[in-house]
Amino acid sequence: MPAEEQPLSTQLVQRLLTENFEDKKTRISQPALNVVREYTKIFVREAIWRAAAIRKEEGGEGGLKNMSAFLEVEDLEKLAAQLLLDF
Amino acid sequence: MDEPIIDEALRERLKSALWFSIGKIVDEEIIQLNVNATPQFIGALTEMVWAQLENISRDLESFARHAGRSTVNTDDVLLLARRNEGLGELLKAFVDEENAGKLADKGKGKGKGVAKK
Repeated sequence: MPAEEQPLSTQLVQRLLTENFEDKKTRISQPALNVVREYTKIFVREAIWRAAAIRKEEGGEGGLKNMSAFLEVEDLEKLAAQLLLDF
Repeated sequence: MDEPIIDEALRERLKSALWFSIGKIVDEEIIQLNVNATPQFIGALTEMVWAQLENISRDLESFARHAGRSTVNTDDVLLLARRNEGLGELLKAFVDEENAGKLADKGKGKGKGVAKK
């Protein structure tokens, strides 16, 4: 996917990773970097989808079905533990 | 280990950049899901992703070192998904697709390899 605009750049992912490597000589290959970006995107999407599922369920119970639901921090708090176990 | 590896100013800049990127992914997804997201949600999600990236950097570095390398490769990244079969399959499919694309690009590259100055 060359010209396609990516919401998350590999440059940013690379910075975030290399800043956290303990040994400053550690490098990461470009193909590996692409996979880490994909991993991160899947992680983010999964968090959003799970939050939306929680929000819709609770909105349904409260009779707020027709209101447009807002994903809140508390939704994220509910799903965080399981999400981190899954990734 | 307790000392922060990244200095404070750099940390803030990187976090803003990550926030912006995650905001874009959130925007794409919420349209499909027909929901909205509060800015606080995006902020909290950014913190989560930040922490996750800190963890996986250390994992990846350890995996590479364990294999006697100083460069993290694709196999190391695939090991991240060792406890999640579904995730592992998604990542493997991504790697296969990338490899297929690279082969196609190489074929193309031969054709226009004359464009040298």
